[in-house]
Amino acid sequence: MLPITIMMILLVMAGVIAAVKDSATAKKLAIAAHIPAFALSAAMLVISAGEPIRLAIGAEPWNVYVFVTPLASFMVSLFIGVSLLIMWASMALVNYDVDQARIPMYYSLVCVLIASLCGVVIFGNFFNVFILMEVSSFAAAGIIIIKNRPENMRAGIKYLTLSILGSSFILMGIITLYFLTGSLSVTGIHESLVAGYAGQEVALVAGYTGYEVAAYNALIFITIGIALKSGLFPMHIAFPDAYAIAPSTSSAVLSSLVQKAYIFFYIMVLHKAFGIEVIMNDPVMSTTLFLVMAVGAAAMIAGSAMALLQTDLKRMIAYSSVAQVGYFFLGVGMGTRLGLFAVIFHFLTHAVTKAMLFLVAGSVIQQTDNRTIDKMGGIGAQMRVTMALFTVGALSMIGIPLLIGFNSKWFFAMGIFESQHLWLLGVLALSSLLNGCYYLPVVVRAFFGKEAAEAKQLGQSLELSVRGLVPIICLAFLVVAFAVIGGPIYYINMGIESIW
Amino acid sequence: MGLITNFYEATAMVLFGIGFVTLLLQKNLIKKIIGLNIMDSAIFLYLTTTGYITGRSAPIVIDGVVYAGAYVNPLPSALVMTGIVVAVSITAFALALSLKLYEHYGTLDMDKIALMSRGGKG
Repeated sequence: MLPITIMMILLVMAGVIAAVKDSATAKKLAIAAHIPAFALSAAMLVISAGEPIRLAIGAEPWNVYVFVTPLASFMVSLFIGVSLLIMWASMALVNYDVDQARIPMYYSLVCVLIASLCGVVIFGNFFNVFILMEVSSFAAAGIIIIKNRPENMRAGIKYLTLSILGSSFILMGIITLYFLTGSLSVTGIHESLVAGYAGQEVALVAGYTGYEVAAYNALIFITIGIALKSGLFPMHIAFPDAYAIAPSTSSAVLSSLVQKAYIFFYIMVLHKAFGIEVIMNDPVMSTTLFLVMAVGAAAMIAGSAMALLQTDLKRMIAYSSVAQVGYFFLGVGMGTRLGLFAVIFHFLTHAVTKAMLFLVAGSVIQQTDNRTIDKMGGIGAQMRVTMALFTVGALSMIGIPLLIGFNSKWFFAMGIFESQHLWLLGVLALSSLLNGCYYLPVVVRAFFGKEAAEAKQLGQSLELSVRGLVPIICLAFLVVAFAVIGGPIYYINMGIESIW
Repeated sequence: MGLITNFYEATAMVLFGIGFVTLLLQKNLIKKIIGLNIMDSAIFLYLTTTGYITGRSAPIVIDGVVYAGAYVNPLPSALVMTGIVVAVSITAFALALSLKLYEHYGTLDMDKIALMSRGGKG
C-alpha cells in the first residue's frame, strides 16, 4: 500500500489546502504534505530495490495495478524531493506572482500535480496512467493560469490544447494495444506480445501474424503523443510561452518535473510493454526509434539556437528546456542500456539544475522587477549570492566537470560511442557550445563591465530573504554533491538491471 | 481486412483526421474546441465499435448467467464512459479559458489575440 499512501497523502492534503482561507497556513500545509510523502518515497526507494512492488486491486484488465520498479521509486523520490525544495523557496517567491486570495488554490493544484505525476510513474495499468496524465495536464494548466492575466490564459489554453492532443494520441495507442493483446497492464501486454514473438527473431509471428501493423500503429501513436505532451522540438510551441509567463515557481515545477513523468511512461512502453530487443530487431519499430533519436538531436540544436535569440531571461531558460527534452529523446531513441542510463541520470540533472535556474530567475525578476537580460548589467553586485547560484546552474548546464551536468554529458557521450552513431558526438559538443553562448553572457553582464562597477558603488543589496535563498542553495549543493557521490549512479544502474 | 468490413474503424480514423486538422488549422478558439471534441468522439467510436460483437448482449445478468460467450466485453464501454468524463471536463475548462480571453481581447481569433498581446507589451 506504500505507493498508494504517498499519492493519497498529497491528494488529501490538496483537498485540505483548498479549503483553507489563509495563505500563510496554505504554504505551511503544502510543506507539511511534502515532508511525510518524501519520507515514504525514500522508504519505497529501499523496499523496491529488492523486488518490484506489485499490487493489484481487482482482476486484469479492469483493475488498479501498481507496479513499482526501482526506477519508478527513484522518479517518485525525485518528484517529491525537488517539489519540496521548490515549495520551500516559493514561500518567499509566490506572493509576487499570485494574488493573495488564490494562494491556497495554487498550493492545492501543485499537490494534485505532484500526486498525479507520481501516479503516472507507479501505475502499471495503462488506463490508470492515462487518467492520471489527464489530471496532470489539468493541474499543470491550472498553475499556469493562476496568475489571472490574459497572457497566462493564452499560454494556458495553448498548453492545454497540445497536452490534450497528446493524450488523445496516447489513448489511441493504448486502445490499439488493448485490442491487440487483450490486456491493459504493462506486464500483461508484454507477455501477450512476447508470446506472439516466441522463437522468432525478426517478425511478429504466431498469434500475431497479420497484426504487425496494429503494433506499429500503437507504437507510433504513443510516440507522437509523448512528443506532443513533453514538448519535443517541432511540437514545442506551447512550452516556452507557458514556462516564461507562468509564475516562477510553477515554471520550476513544470519544466523540471512534468515532462519527465511522460518520458518515463514512454520508457516503460518501450522496455517493459514491447521489450527493447523486439523493437530493435523489427525494421519498422527500430526506424521509429531512430527517428525519435534524430528528432531529439535536432531539438538539442534548435532549442539552444532559439534560446540564443531571446531577450527575456525566463524565456531563454524555457528554450533551454526545449533543448534538454531533445537530450531525453536522444537517449531513449538509442535503445541501448547506456543510452537509457544517461536519460535517467539526466532526469536527475535537469530536475535539480533547471529548478534552481528558474527559482534564481524568479528571484531576480521579483527583486529588480525586470525580466530583460540587457538590463541586468551589474546585478551581480547587488545580488551576489543569487547570481553566484545562477553561475553554478549555468556552468552545470554547459557541462563543466565537478558539476552534475558534466556527468550526464559524459554518460550521453559513452552511450553515443556504444551506439555507433558517432555524428551525435558533434551534436552534443555543438549543443554544449551553444549552452555556453547563451548562459555565459548573463553571468558576464551581471558581474563584470561598467555597470557592475557603478552598481558596486551604490552598494545596495537586493538579495532575496534568507528563507527564499536556503532552498536554492540546497539545490546548488545537490548539483555539486550528485556530481561526486556515486549513490544515484549505483541506484539507477540497479534499476535498469531490473527492467532490462 | 479492407475498408468495407471495417467501415466503422475507417470512419473513426477519418473523423480523427478531421478533428486533428480542425484543431490545428482553425484560428477561432471555439472551432478549435469543436475539433478537439470531434477527435475525442472519433476515439470513442473506434473503441465502442471495436469492442462490440454482433449478436451478443451487454453483460447485464437478468435471468442468471447464460454463458460467457453470450456477452460482449464490458471493458471498452467502461473506457468510453471514463473518456467521455475526461472530454467533458476538458471542454468545460477550455471554454472557461476562452471566455476569459474574450472578455479581455474582445475576439476569439488566436492570431489577433497574439498580435494584440505583442502590441500591448510594446
